Amino acid sequence: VKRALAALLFLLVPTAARADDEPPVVEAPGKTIPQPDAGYTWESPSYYPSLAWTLTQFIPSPELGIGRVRVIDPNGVATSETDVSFGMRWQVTPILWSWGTNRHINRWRYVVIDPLARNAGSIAFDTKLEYFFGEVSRFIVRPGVHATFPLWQRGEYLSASLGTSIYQYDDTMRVSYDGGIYALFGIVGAELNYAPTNAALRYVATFRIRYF
Amino acid sequence: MRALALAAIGLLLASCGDREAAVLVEDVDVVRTPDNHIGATVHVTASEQSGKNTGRFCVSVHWFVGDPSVTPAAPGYPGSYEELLQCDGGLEDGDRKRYVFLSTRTDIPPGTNLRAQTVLGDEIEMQDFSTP
Repeated sequence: VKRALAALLFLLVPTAARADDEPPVVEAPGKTIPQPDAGYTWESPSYYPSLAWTLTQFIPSPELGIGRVRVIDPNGVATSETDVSFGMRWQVTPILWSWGTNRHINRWRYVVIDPLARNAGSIAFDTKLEYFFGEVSRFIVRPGVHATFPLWQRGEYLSASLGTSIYQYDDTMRVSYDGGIYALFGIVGAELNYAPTNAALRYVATFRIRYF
Repeated sequence: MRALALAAIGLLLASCGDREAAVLVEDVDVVRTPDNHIGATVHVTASEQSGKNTGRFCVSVHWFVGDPSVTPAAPGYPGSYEELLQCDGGLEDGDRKRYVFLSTRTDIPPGTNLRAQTVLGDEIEMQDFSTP
């Protein structure tokens, strides 16, 4: 027991002595720190057609054109035929106005459209360029107006569009209406185009691929 | 970039037509019969902007002498070997129809110009072929 007490004293006494030897804490002189800047700055986007962007614009979106027409023989006997034509589509957006971006930055975009500007809510004048094989067998140019609405995560996860366009078919002007739904920042999506007055190309279903 | 966008819009709008209806000549099958008549089957497609009936139109074939590239479209071509005409109505947008013509003359030489055309209102659609 005596040895244990001696060991305990040996351990405790020096510790107490060391604590007494430490110098007192000296308070630092007062210092004024400026308040952080509560404001923020912004810079208007300056997008440009990079090489990668330009190359991706050539990736076509596959589509199917479906129409139902009458074929009349020289004797006047008519039969109905359903034509299904495979096609490819490209698109360009000359002008877009976004209501989903920060209000301080320029809401207008030209040709190169960042995904947030389009999918967070926008209206655009755009043009689709299509080529159909098969019975249709022609190029079609569709200038139109399309609005895009965000559905999930400001449109980055899911967005939808509604629009209308005009095009020339067999030397007469046609109008069509379309709707679409897009995922992955709008890179992939599905569109359905309906042309009420064009029997030969009434429906066009497109798997849309678009890299901004 | 903005100038490029405006130029693209201008180009697209300039390319827009304004015709309401047309009957287009898609193709012509031309054969010479053993007794030297010329048979021509004209394939046409109707086009109507609102998806309705094109109205009355005429389909014709003309065998004429001369350079077709400098002969403007007209309802008839003076000096033709022969001109045959069929008028019709009731085609709706997208309809395809064939019209069969057989020349009455048997002395139309091979290589003679064959012009197949449709007349709808003031509009003439045509295609030129060569007689076998």
